[in-house]
Amino acid sequence: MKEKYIKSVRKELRFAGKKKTDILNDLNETFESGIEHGESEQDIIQRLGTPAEFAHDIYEQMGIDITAKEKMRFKIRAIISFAIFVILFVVVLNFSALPNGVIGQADALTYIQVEGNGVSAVILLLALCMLAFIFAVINTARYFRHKR
Amino acid sequence: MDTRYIQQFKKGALEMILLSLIAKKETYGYEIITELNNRTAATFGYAKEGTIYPILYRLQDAGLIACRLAPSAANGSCKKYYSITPKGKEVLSELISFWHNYSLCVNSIIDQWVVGEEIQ
Repeated sequence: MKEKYIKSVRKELRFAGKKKTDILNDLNETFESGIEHGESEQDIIQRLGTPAEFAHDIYEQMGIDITAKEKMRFKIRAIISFAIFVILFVVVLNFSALPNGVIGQADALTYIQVEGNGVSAVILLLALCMLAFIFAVINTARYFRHKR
Repeated sequence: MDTRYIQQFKKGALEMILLSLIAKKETYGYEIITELNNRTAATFGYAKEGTIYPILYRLQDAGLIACRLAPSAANGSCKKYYSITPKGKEVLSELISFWHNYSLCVNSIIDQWVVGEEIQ
């Protein structure tokens, strides 16, 4: 339980170097001291909070505004994926519309059928387009949920 | 009361409080947090390791406290023992005298307001 906790904290602290090693060593010491004083690992973890909360406290004290960085990341992702969605959407529209005069100079009804030229490509593009849209929506939502 | 106000007060005072605790005797992380919580939790909430560690590192980087690693008696694992440096003592006495002035000044303003309220 203690190992798992420390491992999660290691993941949550998104920086490297001596400070991080110090924090993880001290965390280890906290567990050992706590157990020495008759606390269970469960008690100690309850006091420390979740690994994310622990990391948040550290960031706050160190004056690192990690939430601003995260927010920026979601914003960039949302904008890029939305741009990809728009571009793909335009491409798909152009693809699926038949070009003018594709059948020739037919004035009346014609039985000529236009064979699905590159239909699978259109479907593929459409799928990518939807994917980009979903990704854009998810990141926009995460951006707005990250209030702090 | 909104915990954010408490956090603000705490932020300013914690370094001084930790320095005082370490000035009293050489001590280690767990002891510091236990003592801190025994004496301050009722007034401004539980102190957490995640808050205390970075402050200790800061005090250490500033040369106000020193630390040494020593094996603990119980199970042979190493513990960090913190002690105050001469520079730390100097800064602590400056901080304390500032704090006294500061609280006098703040009190003189807020007490006035309370008296004003009672008259009305």
